[in-house]
Amino acid sequence: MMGERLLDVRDLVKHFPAGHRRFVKAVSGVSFHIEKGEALALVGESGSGKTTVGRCILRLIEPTAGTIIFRGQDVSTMEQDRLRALRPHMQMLFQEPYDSLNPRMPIGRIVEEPIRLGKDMSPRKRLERVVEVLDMVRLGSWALDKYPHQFSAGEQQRIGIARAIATEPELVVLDEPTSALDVSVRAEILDLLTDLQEQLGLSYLFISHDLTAVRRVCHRVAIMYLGKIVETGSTAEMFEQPLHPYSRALLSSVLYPDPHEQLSRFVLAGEIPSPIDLPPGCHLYGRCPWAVDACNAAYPDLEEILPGRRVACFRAREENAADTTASGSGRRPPGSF
Amino acid sequence: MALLLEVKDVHVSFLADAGPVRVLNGAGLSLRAGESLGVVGESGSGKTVLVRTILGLLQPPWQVLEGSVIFNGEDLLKKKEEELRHIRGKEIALTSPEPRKHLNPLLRVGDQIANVLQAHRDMPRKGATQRAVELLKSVGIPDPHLRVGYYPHELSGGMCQRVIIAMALAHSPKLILADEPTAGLDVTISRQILDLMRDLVREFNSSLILVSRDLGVVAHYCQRVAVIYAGQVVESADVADFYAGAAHPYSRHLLRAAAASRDERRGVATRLGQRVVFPDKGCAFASRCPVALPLCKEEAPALEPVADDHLARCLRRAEVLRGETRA
Repeated sequence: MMGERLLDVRDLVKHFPAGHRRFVKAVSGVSFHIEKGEALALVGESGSGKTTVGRCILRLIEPTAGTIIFRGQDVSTMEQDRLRALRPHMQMLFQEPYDSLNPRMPIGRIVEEPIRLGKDMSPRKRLERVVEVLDMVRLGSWALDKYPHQFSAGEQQRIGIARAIATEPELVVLDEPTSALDVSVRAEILDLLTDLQEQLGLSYLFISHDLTAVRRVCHRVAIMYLGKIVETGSTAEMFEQPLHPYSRALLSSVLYPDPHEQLSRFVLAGEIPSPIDLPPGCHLYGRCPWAVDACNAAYPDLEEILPGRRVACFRAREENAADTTASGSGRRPPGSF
Repeated sequence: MALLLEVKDVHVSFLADAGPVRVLNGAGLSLRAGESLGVVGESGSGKTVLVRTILGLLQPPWQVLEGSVIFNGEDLLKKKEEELRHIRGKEIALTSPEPRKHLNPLLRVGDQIANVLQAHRDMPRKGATQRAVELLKSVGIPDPHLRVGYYPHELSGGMCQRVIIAMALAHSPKLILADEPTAGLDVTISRQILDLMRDLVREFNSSLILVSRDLGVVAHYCQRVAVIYAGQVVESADVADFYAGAAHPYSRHLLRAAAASRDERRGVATRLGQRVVFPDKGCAFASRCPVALPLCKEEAPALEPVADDHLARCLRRAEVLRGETRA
């Protein structure tokens, strides 16, 4: 299944007006692709633009520029009625389990809604499908007539998952699907998402700031900083050795539940600047310990500096070669399990 | 080393319309001077209520039924509000998981810190403001002489948390209660705040209770850990011992749930995602416990030693610790 591109995003730009003819440059030229059956993580801190990318892809907000090819068709400029026909193929799972479910609808109707809107199916077939997906998320037909408030947060999120997969989509955009959940519930949801992804051959765009969650679910990672992707690579390689200075800082900030783990810390100066007045050069200029004058003159392209590893940094090749022992989060497995 | 704080057998209820709800059910912990203790638990476990009980901050409909909080040899639960006021902020400080809510949006941060200083010390306003600048500097806020004049909305979440920490440190308290100090902060900022907190606790010779749901944070920033479940401490141990081998099945579950990679994750799917139920008898965890015996539903276990300086509230603690059960 892998190998074929399901989604291809090129030079995506989204600016929000910020008054006085100024703009919040939430996304400034982002390109990536997702293959069939692949889970890609879009990782970044608040304000990096990751959620905006997800919403642009589903056309929940209008992109300012760029192309979004989904199943061979450009959805970035598609009219609403053609887009509607494509909706069953691309679904979304939201961050807040309770807020994303209509409190006045029983679960059966909530899960049926996207099928009713997107598929030509008899009511009886629809009900069968609803029961089927409720089983898949380890609920069941007993849930049909209940209302969202009668469920725990974890169960509500599973209802959200059932709704997202009801129309047999190829792509699911997951926007911080576990950040509102407790640790043990979070583990349960992440496992379910991984199982469904494998069983159904789904493609995920998994938007998150939770690096350990990403590590559990995704094959590949793209790291965003201030509206740009700074590095992409396979999850294993990226966690083993991040190459971009921002990726290094981010991944070395993760605290694993192992007190013996050596904390190798890659520190950036200060905090994330405002995305309104971005410098002409690299957005990390001013915080980066590797920066030279050239970094402030132009933004570096994403370049493949190791097989399968694309990095947007003028200095990455040299600095990483000089520092072969560095690893962002090299860690031993925890002792007792 | 002498005990700085000893919380014993605290029972707290919340009086809801439908009747009282048990929240703390005999919680206890102890802290030596200079120590940092991580209190770990999920939402609803009672960790925040425990912290607020220590400071005597619970008001109706909350009700402290019994127990004692011995701080410096005195029971805080027996003290009057007036006496507690001399302790709060001076001897024991509290930080909030939501720094922005904790700060007054209508006052400049410098004035808020100065107010805290003047609350416990006879100090002219000018001196207090000057000290506020120094405190902002010590928590790593750039240009502190300018930032004293800022309002909370002009600062980022991480900066607001630094201001809260500056306020907590204003009187060099003996004990700092940090309730989820990094909730809602980005990872790189979280690490800055945790590093700062650890360094300052050392510098000011304070002790720390760090309430967190993040086992990674506790592993690296605490010496001891107490796991709280259904209003009781179910395990307490040295951090190194705990992560090498937990003795309570719930602790083991939490550790597995926190595991990071695709390979380590299998077998976590024990269904714990429901509301905590307090049984009339037996162990509070028995109904979900993968290794529960029939006896566990009858007899409530006490928090008892399983190794040196390692306590667990489980009848099978010794087997769980040795890894003989599939807990």
